[in-house]
Amino acid sequence: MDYFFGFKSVISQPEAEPSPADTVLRLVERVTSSTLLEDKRDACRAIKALSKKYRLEVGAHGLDALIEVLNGQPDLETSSFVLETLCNVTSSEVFEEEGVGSPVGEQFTEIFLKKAENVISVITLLDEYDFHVRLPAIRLLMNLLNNKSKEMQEIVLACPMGVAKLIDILSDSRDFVRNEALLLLIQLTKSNANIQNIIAYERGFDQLFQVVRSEGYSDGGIVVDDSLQLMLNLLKRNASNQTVFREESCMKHITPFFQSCQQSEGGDPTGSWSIQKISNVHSMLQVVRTLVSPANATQVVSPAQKNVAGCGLLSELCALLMSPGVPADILSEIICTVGESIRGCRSNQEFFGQVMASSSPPRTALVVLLMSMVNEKQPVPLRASVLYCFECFLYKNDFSQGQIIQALLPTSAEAMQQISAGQLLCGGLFSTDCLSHWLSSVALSHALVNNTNNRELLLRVHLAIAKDVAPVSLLQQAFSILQLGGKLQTRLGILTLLSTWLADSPNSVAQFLKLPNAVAFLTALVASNEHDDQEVLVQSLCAFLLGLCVVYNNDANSNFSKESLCQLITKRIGVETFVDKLAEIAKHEVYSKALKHPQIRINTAADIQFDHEFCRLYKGLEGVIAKAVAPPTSPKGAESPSESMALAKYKDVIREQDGQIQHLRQRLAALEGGHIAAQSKIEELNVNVQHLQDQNTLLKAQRNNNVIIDEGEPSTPPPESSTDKLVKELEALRLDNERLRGQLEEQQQAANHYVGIPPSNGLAVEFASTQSASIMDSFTTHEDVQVCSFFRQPESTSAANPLEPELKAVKSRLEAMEAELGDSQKRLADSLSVNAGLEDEIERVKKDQEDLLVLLADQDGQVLKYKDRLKNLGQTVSEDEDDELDDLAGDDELSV
Amino acid sequence: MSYAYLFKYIIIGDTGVGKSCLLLQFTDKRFQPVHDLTIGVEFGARMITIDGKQIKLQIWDTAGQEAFRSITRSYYRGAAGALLVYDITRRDTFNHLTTWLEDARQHSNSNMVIMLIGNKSDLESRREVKKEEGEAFAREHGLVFMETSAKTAANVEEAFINTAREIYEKIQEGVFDINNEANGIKLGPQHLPSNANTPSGGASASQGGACC
Repeated sequence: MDYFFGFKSVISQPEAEPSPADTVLRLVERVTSSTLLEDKRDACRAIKALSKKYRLEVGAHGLDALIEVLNGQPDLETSSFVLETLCNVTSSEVFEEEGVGSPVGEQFTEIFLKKAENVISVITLLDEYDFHVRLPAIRLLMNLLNNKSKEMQEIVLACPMGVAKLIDILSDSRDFVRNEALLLLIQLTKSNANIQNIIAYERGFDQLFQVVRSEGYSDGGIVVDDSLQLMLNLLKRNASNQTVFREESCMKHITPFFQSCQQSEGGDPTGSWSIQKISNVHSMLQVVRTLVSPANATQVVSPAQKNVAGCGLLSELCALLMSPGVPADILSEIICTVGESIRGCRSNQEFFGQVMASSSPPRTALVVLLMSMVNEKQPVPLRASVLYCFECFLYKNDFSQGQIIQALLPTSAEAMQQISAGQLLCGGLFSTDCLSHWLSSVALSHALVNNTNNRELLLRVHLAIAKDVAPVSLLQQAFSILQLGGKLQTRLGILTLLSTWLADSPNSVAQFLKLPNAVAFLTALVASNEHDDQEVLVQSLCAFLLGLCVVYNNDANSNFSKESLCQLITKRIGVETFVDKLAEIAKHEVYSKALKHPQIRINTAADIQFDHEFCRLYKGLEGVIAKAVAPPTSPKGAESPSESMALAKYKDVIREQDGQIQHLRQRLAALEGGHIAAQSKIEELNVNVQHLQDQNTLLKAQRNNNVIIDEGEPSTPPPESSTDKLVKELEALRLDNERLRGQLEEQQQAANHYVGIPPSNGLAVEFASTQSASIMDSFTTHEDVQVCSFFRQPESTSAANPLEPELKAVKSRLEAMEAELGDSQKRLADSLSVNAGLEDEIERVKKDQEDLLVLLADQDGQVLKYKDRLKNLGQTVSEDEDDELDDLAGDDELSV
Repeated sequence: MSYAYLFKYIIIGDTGVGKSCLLLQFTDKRFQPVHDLTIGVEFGARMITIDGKQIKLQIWDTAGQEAFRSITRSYYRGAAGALLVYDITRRDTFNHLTTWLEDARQHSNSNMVIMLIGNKSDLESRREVKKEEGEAFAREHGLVFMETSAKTAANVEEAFINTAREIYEKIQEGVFDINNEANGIKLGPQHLPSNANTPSGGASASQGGACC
């Protein structure tokens, strides 16, 4: 604030206090316009000083300027001021100085996050080792993350090396910087698997364990807890990271953590655990449980379980379990952790079965735990966790299941001296505590899950209630407890036990039906009309039990055969009521909760709870029971013999029709196949015909073309008749020519004779020239103008010329003509032969076409035949070929 | 199992070139013709032997889609080796190699060994990129080149092991700083100098043996 007053004097406004907005505006202007580094820095410092009290003003006017400074690679001090200012502006808390104001941090965060490079600039500043920069940078990121978690996560992910830089700070030697980074990472990894994976990739687990180790394991402060929280974030529902955790053998780092729990115990026997220690241990147990949780995929869980045993963690946990002074809630968590570590893993289960407690008569840890389970003085969550652990111990473990039951049989008399797990459970049935009833019966039911052999063995178990009373069977005893009524939990527990017992075990059902009043009692309960929420549950379970008696009935007891029980249900309860009552269990919210996760979560003794395995049993069998109880044909259920006879007849008819339908369907399929094949063949043929036609047209066209080309060429003489004419004419001309030559010779001779008489000579010449003119005329009729001119030229000039050269020219011309003629004739012959070839081909194509048409006709006939056959077979066949298939498909169902 | 060194690899390249299949073939020795798109990254590990030394390979299979590119960038820094994969039946995947390489060079440490892989060599009939082109590209950019088939497993082992050998040689030459784990190389438990935190070299080795 000192600076603030100094600043006022600088801008010299003595008359009035400037409003805070004005001051901020001026400072911001200085930040943006100042070219002097120091000036800028001072302005930033001043803004920082104002940023708490006048957060709104600083944010509204200064945010852009501050961002600009931030992005312009400022010096360390300026960076520090800007970052701290931004921290204040974006903070989600309301500062004391601010007075009453609405939290505006989120809005400013939004503005700041509009450009990703702003965040990148902050992340880049993390490279500075100076804690005046690094610390506010971390805090600023934290504020941004708190306000706009999703957006920030995306920006940090997109920033190159963004996550990596944050992880690097975990190895900062200054604890307070490292701890801030830890908090930031916890926030950053919340429900973002990509960031979680990158952190695991960047050796996050190693670094976190290093922090845990350096902080002194379980005795460390809140930083240990924070590290473990981050670790939990990385592992929860992230199978990839769980694999990484295993691959990097991180599990072995957990063992010393639990060793440290006990060590401090020994060092300070009187002291109870500190709250922080409880919290630390609890977090670490959560880490272990996340790795072995039954909610994970089996291929992830079983190696993790082996890992837990392999690095001595399991034995460490078991030791902790038996050691005194462990707080109860931690103890129940340890029990659950041990349970999940051994669940379904035979070697771990065996190991656990042999763990001994350090009690004076040596007992197994299991027995000690069960003792506390049936001890009503123990806290409820602890007792529930023991049940869970016991269930995990027996899960997929028929050997131990067998052992539990075996110990109850009278044959092992010498073992009676020792307390066995089974005895404890049976004892629990006789206790006065209803929760003990429930826990014991559910625990006992787990010895029977998926184990038919044990169900029958348990039938042989007899209990000595009092010294002078004959021992009664366990089944009888359980039923008696049920009959006595009692609290809800007791009854639910016993019904759970009985249901598990009777399911899939006809012998047990037979034994149960032999019990006096058993059926009557159940029927009465199911039929009763009480609508109390709890009563409805009991009724529903009774309906389930009764249903099991129907489904797994071997008809050994003639009074209660499958059929008679069905009749009983129909008459006394009504099938609909029965099914409605049966469905009640599934409507209850504890059912869906229990079905989700095997662990039992009871916090107070009054909490009602279903067992996970029982819910699964119910889910699998509810439908079966409803089907078994529902009468198959008539709603009345009762069938007179004639009805059943008729029914049998109908059944036969149906069966027969079924067979027929099957047969017809097959035929139809075959025919359809044939039809399709035929059609495709027809199509193929059509295409062929089309092809041939095309070829044909093409050939025709080619032929015509040939003709056209012949005609089109002016130099070639017209074929056939015209050529003939030409030939004849030529012949005539030749004859003429010869005659003329003869005449010429005669005339020459005569001329020689009449050399002296010029007039006659001129006459002769004139004669000859007229003759030649006539020849030429005859030529012109056949030859083109050019040729004519060729002949005319000599005519016009030959008046003075002697006839010989003219004649010679004519001759040579004739010769040329002759040659040309010969050539033409040859070509004509060629084209004629080509024509003949083409005609042959056309002939052949025509023949092919005819053949194909015949084939087509055949196919048509066949298709018609198929149609007729289909008609004969009772199928309606449409005339329209295109729709035929569809119709057939439709008819198929109709006619059936 | 205890190891002398641990190398971190990443597999990069366009979507659908068979990165995940290469990893699966190397770690599980099987081929999965139908594979979902990789989202983010997937992880696999296997032990190999080079020079009689046990070397553990941790391989991070990245998503090739453009949308995940920024996430992929975060993995370059901590990797000692990268397999840059293209599909010989799709020219465009070859054309994009330059972009991938630029990205990798920009964000990784300079010593990262990059191996160029032309995958799907079993689909010779659909080949669009000649082997010579791949070789030329590798030569030009100083990469090791190999054509592989994740389907028939041809050259898959070799691709991963040759890359490891190259890294191993670089370590022998002293190019890599093996004490900085950010380079994607980690010394095995028995190689760690015994200090106050670990009771003794022998004990930690036996512990490692129990856990891996």
